[in-house]
Amino acid sequence: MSKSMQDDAHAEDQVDNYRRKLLGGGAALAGAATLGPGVFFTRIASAKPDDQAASSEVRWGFLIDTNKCADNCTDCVTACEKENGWGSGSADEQHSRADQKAQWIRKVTVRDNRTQHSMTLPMMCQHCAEPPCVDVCPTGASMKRPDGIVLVDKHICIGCRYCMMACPYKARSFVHEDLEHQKSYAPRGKGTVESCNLCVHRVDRGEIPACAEACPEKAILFGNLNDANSEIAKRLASEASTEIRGDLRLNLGVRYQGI
Amino acid sequence: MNLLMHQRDDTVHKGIRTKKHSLKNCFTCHVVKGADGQPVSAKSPKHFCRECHDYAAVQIDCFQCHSSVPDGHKTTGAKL
Repeated sequence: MSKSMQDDAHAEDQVDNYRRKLLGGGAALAGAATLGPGVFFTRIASAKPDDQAASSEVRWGFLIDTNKCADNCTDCVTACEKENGWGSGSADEQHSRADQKAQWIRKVTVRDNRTQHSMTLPMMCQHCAEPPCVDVCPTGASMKRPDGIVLVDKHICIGCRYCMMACPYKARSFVHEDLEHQKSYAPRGKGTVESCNLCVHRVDRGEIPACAEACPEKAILFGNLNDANSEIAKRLASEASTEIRGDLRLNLGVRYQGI
Repeated sequence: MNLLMHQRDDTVHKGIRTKKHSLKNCFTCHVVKGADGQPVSAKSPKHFCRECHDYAAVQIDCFQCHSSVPDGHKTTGAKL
């Protein structure tokens, strides 16, 4: 991407932020709110007021349709990088090897060796109801919010990386070097572990995670698993879906179709 | 500082995101700008947090993870 294109994208972000502020004070808008000709923000029905704590009546999750997931598309990964300021979304982490760098979400290719059928799927923290990373954390930094989002409180993370060992999905990364250009809403720093946090800052203001918004095929559906009227709950009830490594009985917040 | 610490736990663990004692909200008013009009980062002794922290010789850990300038700004390249 050229410098001028980056600047343009940057300017657009600022306009978006300004519009978001203008929309103001978390007025709970259901469905898609129209802000002007051609400008849409997809919002979730149950936006939580800023002063209220996350409730255990809600459980956020994804339903990912791998049949719709295009082989060469990495839009979800790019959107996450840009939103949360890691990978290509950040100028930091110049000294780490590729396998040391942060990966909050990755595209995984799976092939059936007998039939040679291959497919790709996005893989991120599965937001378990019984997360092994929380079980093993010695400080309580690896935690699950009441609404089912699993994240790291970096204020108390000591960087022991026990959670990285415990996670069956290899979802966690460790930051190995000093960072400088973090996003204000996605703090990350040397010596702490991080992973997909379901774009908690966006969810709290009633928006859907960046990857779900960016997917051109709408293969990633975000919603409240506990709300029987939500699109995700209806689809889960009527269509087949599976958990990856369901044998571990971790009760995942992320479910896949077509695998 | 106590209020900031309290708010940080409420925000991370419970998702309470009121602006009153949020670190992010400090920057909207207190940000110090360099000669080129861009905000100075915590690397600069002119940064508003460092004014007192340097005087009291207390190291700031916040900006190892948190951004020390408001979003959407480049830090100043100008000499102070």
